[in-house]
Amino acid sequence: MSMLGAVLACAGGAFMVVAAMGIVRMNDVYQRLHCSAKSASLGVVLVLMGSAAAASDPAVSWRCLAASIFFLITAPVGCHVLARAAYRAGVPLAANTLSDAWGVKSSGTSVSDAPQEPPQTAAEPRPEPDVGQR
Amino acid sequence: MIAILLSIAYGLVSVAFLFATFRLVRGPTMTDRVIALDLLTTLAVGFLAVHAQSTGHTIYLDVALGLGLVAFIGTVAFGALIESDRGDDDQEERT
Repeated sequence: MSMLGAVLACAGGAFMVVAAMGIVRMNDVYQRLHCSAKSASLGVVLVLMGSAAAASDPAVSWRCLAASIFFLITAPVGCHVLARAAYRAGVPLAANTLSDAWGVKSSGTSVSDAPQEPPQTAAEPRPEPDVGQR
Repeated sequence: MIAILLSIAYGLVSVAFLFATFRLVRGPTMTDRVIALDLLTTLAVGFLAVHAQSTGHTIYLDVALGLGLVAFIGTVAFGALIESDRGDDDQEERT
């Protein structure tokens, strides 16, 4: 079991390195958020599972399981909060972005006051949202 | 063999620390730095878990859980800060 824990720790470390390389190499805030949220949380969950497998006390293993479930819940929430804040703050999208479901494909300044509604069509950009009403 | 594998895990997490620190220093926008900080705390949690497994001091797992909680609250707070900055700019543009 301790061997399994060490192998899982190595796998988790490899996922963390992939996440950090994505942080360095990606073009955009949103692409960086993608690899930071998914790959790093998978890596930390793998490492915690390795600790749970290597621990001799069952209480420690349950604690590791609780911590990994906590990470699996909070990592997408934090990623979503950061992505929405960046979009509403007008952080520009990368040049190779294919579709922008929240509005025009540009710096995103015109959609910062848009109401929070689910995107109907992802392909075609929406017109300018109610500029003349205020 | 187990010691070698755990040393490899230490090395991998340390390399990831270096990359994330590069983005933290270099990030063009504030959001990049917040992302790098979030990744750094996640990596710190992984490092603590590897350390707990390597030395057998399972108290570090509690530290890792607390650090993850603080990191989540900090990320949400930074997100609110970025959004509120944008709101202030918008009101200044309007008036």
